[in-house]
Amino acid sequence: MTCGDEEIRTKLQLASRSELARSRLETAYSALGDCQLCAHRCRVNRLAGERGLCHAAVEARVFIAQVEVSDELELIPTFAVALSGCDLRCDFCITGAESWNPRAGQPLDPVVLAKQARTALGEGARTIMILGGEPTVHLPAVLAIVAALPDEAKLVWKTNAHGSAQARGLLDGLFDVWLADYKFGNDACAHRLARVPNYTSVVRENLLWANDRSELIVRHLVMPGHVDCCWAPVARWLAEALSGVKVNLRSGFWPAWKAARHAELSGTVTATEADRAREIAREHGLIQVP
Amino acid sequence: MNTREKSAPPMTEGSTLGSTSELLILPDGKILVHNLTPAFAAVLSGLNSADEQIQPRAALAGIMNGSRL
Repeated sequence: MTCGDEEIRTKLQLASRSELARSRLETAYSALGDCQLCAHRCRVNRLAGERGLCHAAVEARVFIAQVEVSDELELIPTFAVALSGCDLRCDFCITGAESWNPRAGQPLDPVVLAKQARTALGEGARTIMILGGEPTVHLPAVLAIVAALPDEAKLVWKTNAHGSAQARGLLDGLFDVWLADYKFGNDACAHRLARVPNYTSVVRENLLWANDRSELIVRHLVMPGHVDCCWAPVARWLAEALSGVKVNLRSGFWPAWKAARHAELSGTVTATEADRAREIAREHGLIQVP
Repeated sequence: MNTREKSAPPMTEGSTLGSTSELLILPDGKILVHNLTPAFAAVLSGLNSADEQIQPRAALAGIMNGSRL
């Protein structure tokens, strides 16, 4: 072996996903001391016990670790790992009890999770999906999981796309697919339903970045009474800014968690609304995936 | 704080969180499902083998070998 060969091998080894994740662990943990992982940028010292809007501590907990087949067909069966806690406060959250409470579930052990994931892959799972809540608020734990996973596994980052530039930097190159929600078509609905400011600009910034760095699938959950104010603008922007991106339009909304706080969210999506949403997607030439 | 989180043990090699699927059955008979596991996909597929939403998922679930569904 020549010196040149050794140098190439070293570079390749450093470029492996698990190594990359491991190399960022210290930085990610340190970041909790002045937390700006999500776009709220609370700047609390989680290492000293302070809590930001997500209420998350240093410890990450997991409330789901199982094989699922409810996501996009090209991703399933997936071994889904759901971390408790989230930076958004969507009143209609389907996993509200766990997403609003970072103390829900069990303490996360990345080695145990990685072993379970390897077993699932061996039994036929096609991907490993990290989700929440919102996994961005637990980036150190996410990096620890990725560091323990096989480099050849196809990894999916399921996110609300409300992360910060700092979070994106820590995630760069680690996930094969970004599966990102684009929930609200305007800042007023985002603030009213999820108490999040500046939603549109943050999500768009994240989606554009993700599309440059990895495969991107954008999800939109059609909400009753929000086809024209939310889905239509989202569809228009996707057609203009992310032409060719895969879109999964989901119409299975149900009035979970605190949805009853909003009169229009007290039921499911009507057939008329679902048809109208699909028509909008067709009008904009969006590439829909099941 | 609920009792589940108080009693939740740390993850260990032998521990699992248990399988979880949630469903909502609408008055018109339509079923909405969240966190669909392979086992539950098989159940729903058996209930309505003509359902276009569940069939491809049940088929893909079928590639899992020996999983604790």
